[in-house]
Amino acid sequence: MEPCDPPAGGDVTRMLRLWSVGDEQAFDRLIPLVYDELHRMALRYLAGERSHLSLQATGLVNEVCLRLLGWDQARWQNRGHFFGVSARMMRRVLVDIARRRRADRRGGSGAVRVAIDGLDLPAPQTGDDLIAVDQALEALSAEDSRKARVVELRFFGGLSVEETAETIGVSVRTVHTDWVFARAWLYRALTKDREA
Amino acid sequence: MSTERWLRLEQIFADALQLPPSARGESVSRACAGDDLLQREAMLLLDAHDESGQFLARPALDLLAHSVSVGGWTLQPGQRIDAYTILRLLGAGGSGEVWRARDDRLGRDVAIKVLLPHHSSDAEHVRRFAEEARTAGALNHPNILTVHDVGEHRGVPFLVSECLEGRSLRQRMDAGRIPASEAIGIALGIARGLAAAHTRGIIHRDLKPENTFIADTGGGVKILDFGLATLESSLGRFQDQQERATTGVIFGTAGYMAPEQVRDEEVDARTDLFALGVMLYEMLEGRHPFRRPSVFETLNAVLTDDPPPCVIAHEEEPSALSQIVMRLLQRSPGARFQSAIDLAWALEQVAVARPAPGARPSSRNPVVPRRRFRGLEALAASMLTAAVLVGSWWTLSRPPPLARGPALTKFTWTLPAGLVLDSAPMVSPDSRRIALAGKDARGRRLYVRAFDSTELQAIPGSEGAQQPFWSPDSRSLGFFADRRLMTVALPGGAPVAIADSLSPHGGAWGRAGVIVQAPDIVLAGLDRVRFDGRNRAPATLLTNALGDTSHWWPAFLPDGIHFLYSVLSTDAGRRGVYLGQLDRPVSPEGPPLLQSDSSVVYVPLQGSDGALLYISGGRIEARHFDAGRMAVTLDARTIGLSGATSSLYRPMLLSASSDVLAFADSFVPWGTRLEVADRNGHQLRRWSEPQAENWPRVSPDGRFLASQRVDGPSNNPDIWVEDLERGTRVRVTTAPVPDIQAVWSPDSQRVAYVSGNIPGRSGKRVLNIAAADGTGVVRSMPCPGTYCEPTDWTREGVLLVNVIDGRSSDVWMVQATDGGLARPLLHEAFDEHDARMSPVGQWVAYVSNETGQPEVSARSMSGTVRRVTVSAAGGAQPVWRRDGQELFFVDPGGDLRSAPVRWSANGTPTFGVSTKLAAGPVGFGHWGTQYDLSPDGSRVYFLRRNDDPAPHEFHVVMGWQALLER
Repeated sequence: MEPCDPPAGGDVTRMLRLWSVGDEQAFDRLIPLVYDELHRMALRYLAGERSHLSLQATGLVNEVCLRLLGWDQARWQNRGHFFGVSARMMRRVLVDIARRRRADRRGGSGAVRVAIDGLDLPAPQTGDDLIAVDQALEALSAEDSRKARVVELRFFGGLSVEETAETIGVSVRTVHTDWVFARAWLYRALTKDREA
Repeated sequence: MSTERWLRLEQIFADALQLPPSARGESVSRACAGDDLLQREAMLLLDAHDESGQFLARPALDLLAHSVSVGGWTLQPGQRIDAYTILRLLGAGGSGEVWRARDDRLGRDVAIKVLLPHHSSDAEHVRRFAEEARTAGALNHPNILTVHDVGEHRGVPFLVSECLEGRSLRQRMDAGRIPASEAIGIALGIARGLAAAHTRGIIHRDLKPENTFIADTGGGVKILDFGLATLESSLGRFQDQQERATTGVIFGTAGYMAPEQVRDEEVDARTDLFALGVMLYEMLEGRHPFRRPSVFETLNAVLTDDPPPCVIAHEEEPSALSQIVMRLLQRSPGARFQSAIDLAWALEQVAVARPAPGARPSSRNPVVPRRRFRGLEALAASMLTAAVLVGSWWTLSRPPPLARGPALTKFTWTLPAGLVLDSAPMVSPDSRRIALAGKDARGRRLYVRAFDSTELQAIPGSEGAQQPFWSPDSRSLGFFADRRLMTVALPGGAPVAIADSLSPHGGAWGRAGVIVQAPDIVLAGLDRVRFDGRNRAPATLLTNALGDTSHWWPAFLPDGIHFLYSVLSTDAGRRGVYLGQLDRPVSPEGPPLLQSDSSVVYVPLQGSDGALLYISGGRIEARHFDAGRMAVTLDARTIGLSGATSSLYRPMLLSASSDVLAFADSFVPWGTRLEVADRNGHQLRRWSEPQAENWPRVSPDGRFLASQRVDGPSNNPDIWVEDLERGTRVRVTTAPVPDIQAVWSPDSQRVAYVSGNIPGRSGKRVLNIAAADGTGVVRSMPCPGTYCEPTDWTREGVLLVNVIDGRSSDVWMVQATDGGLARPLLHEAFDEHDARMSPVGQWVAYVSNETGQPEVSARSMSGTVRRVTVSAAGGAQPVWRRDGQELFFVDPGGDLRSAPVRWSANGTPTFGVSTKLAAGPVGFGHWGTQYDLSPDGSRVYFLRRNDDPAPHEFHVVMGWQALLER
C-alpha cells in the first residue's frame, strides 16, 4: 500500500480538539484533511480489495480513523468521541460516493438506487438510497437530534447498540428505543412520497 | 412538531409496540384522546415499523459495497460507450457483466463484457488481459469467440465480441442428457479451438461448461473468455478464491482445475486438456468425476482420486472414448494427451467409428468420503461458506498419507466481526479444539472452539487473557492475565491464579504437570511451577554478564522434563533457541540449538522424532528434532506456507498438533516501523518488529534513539531508548499511562516527555525527566496548560513546550533544572507549536498558522524580534541540522525538505530555497515531529506505516505433516 498521508502538522488533532469542545465548524474543516484517504479506503473496500469477510464496516471506519488520526488515544476524550467522529466522517464519505455514483451513471441526473434493504429480500420497493436516508436523517435531526445520532452511529458508523450507547452516553435501552422509533420514522419519511 | 407532542408520540409508539398488532389501534386511540393528528401520525409510524423489514439492518458501507459489486450495473440501457449503444443486460457473473449492444458504425449487434472493478485494478494485468483477449479473439477461429474490440470505460476495461444466440454448455447439460455423439462433437469443437489458441501460446486456464458456448445457428461450439483467467490471477489466488467462495462460484472452477493448478504449479496446454477431460466425462456420464460435498474434498479428489470408470463410453465404445477421457484426466500432465491437436485427431477417429447414440445414464457408487477425523471434516464442512482454499502451498509431489491423518486441507477461519486475534491460535494436543486470546472493544478474553462445533465460546472469567497454552491432556488451558499465571479447566472451570507473572512472555505445560513460564520481559530466567501453584522454582538462570537479557517462549518436549526456549542476548551468537531441563536450572550453555529470531513449536512425530516449527523470513519452516539425542537435524524445510513475520519481540502466531497446524498471517494491525535511510532515500535499515511507534528522536551524540513505542503485551505507549550501535533497547517509562514525545537533554543522558492520564480521563499531564538508561524519573513538573508536549531541550537547559489550552496553542519555556519555572515564549493570536532552538545563534524555528496554513517560521530570541517564513507553501516539523547549516521540515505532501542556512557574523540566519529529500515520506497527521536526522544530517530516521493486515483470521491446515514429506 502506498503511503497516504494527510497534510503534515497538527491540523487534524487541532480540529478534533476544537470540535470536541463544541466548535461544529471545526468538523467541516477537518473533513478535507482526511477526506481523500477515507474516500480512497472506502473505494478500495467497495472494490472488493478488502475481503468482506475479514473487514467489517466498523473495522474500516476505525482503521481509517486510527491511521489518519493516530492511535494515540490520549488525544481522544474517550472511545465514544472517537466513534462519533468516525461515524460522522463515514456518513459524509459514503453519501458522497453514492452521489458520485449517481452522477456517473446518469450523467448527473436521475437516481440510481442504492438499496438499503436486506440483501436476501426482494428488491426494495421504496426506492430508497443512501442519499435519501441522509436527507431524511437531516429532517429527523431537526426534530430529535439524539435519534438522528443513533442512526448515524449505527447505520453509517456501523456501531453496535452498546457502542452507540457508550458514544452518546445513554443506556442501551434508550438506544434501542431510539433506534426502533427512528427507523420507523425514517422509513415513513422515505415512503411518504410513494403514497402521495 | 413541538417537543411535547414529539415526546408523546414517542411514548405512544413505544407503548403500542409492546402490544400485539391487533391491540395497537385501540391503545393508540385511547392514548391520543381525540387528538386525530397525533393518532394518525402514530398509526403511520407503527405501519412503517411493521413494513420496514430489514430497513437499515446492514451498515451503509456494506450496502454500498454490495450494490457496487452485485446490484449496481456498470452500464445502463441507452448509454453509449465509444461507438456502441447499450441495449440490455444479457448476464452477470463473478467477473463482470455482459450487455447486448449495437455497433452503430457497422450496424450489427455485439456483446460487451464489462469487468467488475476488482478485476481491473492492476494495470499490468489489464494490459495482458487485453493482449490475450485480442490475440485469441483475432484468431478468427470458428470455435473461439471473436473479439472485435477491447476498450476502457471510466477506467474499467471492456471487451466487445460477436453476439451469440444460444446457451452455455452448462445450460445444455442442465437441460438433459447429452448423447455421446453430441458430446464428442462438442469436445471436438473445444479441442480445435484450444489447438488454435495453444499454437499462439495462449492457455485458457479456466475452461469450464460456463464459458463454453453452443451457438444456435451454425451449431458451433465457442470458447469464451480467453485471457480472463490471467486477469483473475492478478488478484492472487487467495483473495480470488475467497471472493468466489462468497459468491458461490468456486465449484465451477474448482471442479475443472487440473492438479497442477490446484498445486499452483506451472500450467500449460495440457492443463486445458484436463479441464476438457472433466467436461467430456461430465457430458458422457451425466455427473462430475470429482465432485464431492465440499470444495476441499473436490480439490482433494482432483489431487488424489481416480475418477470412476466412464461407463457410458464403455458400453458403447469398448475402449476408445473411455480411454480418451481417462487419458485426459491423468493427474500427471505427462500422461495426458500432449496437445489439443492430438486430442482432436483421436476424437475424430472415434466420431468416425461411432454407432448411433442410445445410451442411458448409469449410476455407480459414488465415492464415499473418508470418515476419519469426523470433527475435522465437520469443521471443514461448516467452514465452507467462509472457506478459502489456496493452492500455492500445495506443493506435494505425491498424495498425502491418507492413512495417517486427515486429508491435507486448508481453510481460513475468520473471527466474528469486531474480534481480532491476540495470540497464536492454539491447537489442542488432541487436535479437537482451538483456543485463542481474542480482543474486541471490550478487551481481551480467551475463546475456544471445538472442531466439531461452529461456536466460538468465550471463557468466563478470562478477561485480560493473553498467551494461552494447552495442558498435555487438552483439558485445561494456561494463560496470563492481570500479571498472573492462570489455569482454567475446560469446560466450565473457573480460572485460577497460580503464580505471579509481571510481564509474561510465554508459558508451556509439560506432561509431568509442571508449567514453565517466562515471568518478565527482561533480566529474568524462566520459572517452573506445578499446575496447582506449588513448588515454584527457577527453570533457567539468566546471566546478564554473558549478554543475555531475556528468556522467553518456552515449549515442552514430550518427556515433560526438557523444554525449548528462546534466548535474547546482546551477544548475537547466543540469540536463538536453547534446550532446558526442569531438574537442572542453568544458564544456557554454548551456542543455541537453533539460531532463530522466532520462537519455536515442537510437535512429536513418530518414535522419538519431532518437528520444530518456526518462522523464518515470513515463511514457516520445519526441522526434524531427534528427542533421543536432543539434536536438531541441519536441514530446514520450508513447508510452503507463509506466516506472520515474527521476531523474538513478537511471539510466533503458530501452533500445531500432530494433525492440525494453525497460524495467522499478521499480528499488529496498526503500527509503524522505524526506518533509516540516507538522504537519497536508500534504505539503510528497517526495524523488523511491527510496532506502533511515534516521534523518533536521535540523541545529540548520535548513539541513541528515543521514541514512543507500544509495548505488545501491555499495549501501553512508553518511551523507549535504543542503543543504535548495540541494538539494545531500554524502556524509560513504566507507568501504565501513555508517555508522549521524548526530547533529549543536550548531554544525551536524559529524556523529557509528557506523561498522560489513562485514555479517556481528563486532567493535567505531567512533564517528566527520566534517565535515558531506564533507571527512572529524575523530576516531574506540571504541564503549564491542560495539555503540553516538550519539543526541544536547549543548551541552556530550557524545555520548549507546546502548550494547548482551550482553542490555541502556544510555545512555552520550562526550566528543566530549577523548579520548572515556566513562561510563554511564542504567545500570539495564532497557533504556534513544535519550536526548535537553533544550534548556533539565538533563533527558534517553529510552526505557525499565521498565514492560514501551517508554515515553518523562524524568529530571533534576542535583540529586536525578527521573523522569517522558511517554508514557501506550507510546512511543519522543523528540525535543525546539529551544526545549524540546514533546516529540515515536512511539506504538506508529507515529503521531507531541507533549506540551507547561512549565518552572518552577528548570528542572523539566511534561509535558502528548500529542496526535497528522497528519504521518506514522513507525513502522518500527528502534531509533533515524526522523523529525525543523525547529527551529521546524513541519515534520516522516520516511520513507515506498518501495512500488516489486521489478524481477523487465521489458517488451519489439517494433515499438515504431508507437507514435510517432500
